[in-house]
Amino acid sequence: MTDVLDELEVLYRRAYGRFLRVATAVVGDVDAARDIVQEAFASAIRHRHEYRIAGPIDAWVWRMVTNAAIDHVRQLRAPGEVVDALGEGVASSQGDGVASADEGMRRLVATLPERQRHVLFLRYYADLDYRTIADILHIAVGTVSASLHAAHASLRTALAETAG
Amino acid sequence: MNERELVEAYVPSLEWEVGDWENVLRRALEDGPRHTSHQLVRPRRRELDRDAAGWGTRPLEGEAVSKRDERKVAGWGTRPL
Repeated sequence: MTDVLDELEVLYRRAYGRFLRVATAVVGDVDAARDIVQEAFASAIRHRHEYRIAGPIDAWVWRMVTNAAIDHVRQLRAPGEVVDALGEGVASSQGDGVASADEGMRRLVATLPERQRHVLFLRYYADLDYRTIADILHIAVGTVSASLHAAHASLRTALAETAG
Repeated sequence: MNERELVEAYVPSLEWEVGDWENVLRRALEDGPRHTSHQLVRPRRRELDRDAAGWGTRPLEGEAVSKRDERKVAGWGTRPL
């Protein structure tokens, strides 16, 4: 049991930034994301006896963080509000010049269907493989692949239109 | 800008942020179910009893801690009968 606690601490210290980034991308609010990541880890500690060694602990915690972020959005925000809050939240938390994605670019990503966005965030921000993403989002591996492909195609089209 | 760069820019890296692990532990203790908090800070009752009795927490010599050990202690060996 102590081992799980140790593993959680190591994971938290090693990957906090990535957890925070994914949660921020999902909820559109850095402060709320900090709270979500902390609470997810606290919940993992409280439920650590339910963790099974068979799977990697990273995937178990990623699932908790992602689900908490998705629940937060569904309870508190209308879909269109995420990108607005993201613009304000990221810009104010990172200072001048860091929020390099201007609103137009953010809106390109924000207009994607929810599942496609979540797959993109877990793939690019968390560097998770397709199998782990599938487990976290409770979808098939093929759906992960298809969602990623569809998201890329949509973004490519939108970028081409923006450039043209 | 390609698709990956676009997604990367959606939320710029937050790797510089450092989480507060002590605060996570506090939350786990404060908000969790009573029995879980109890488990986090105190040993199991059996261990507590042994500690209080000055036995330490390791099994006593010859003490059965599992079905397999019970058989051993009873002199049956560990192979199925």
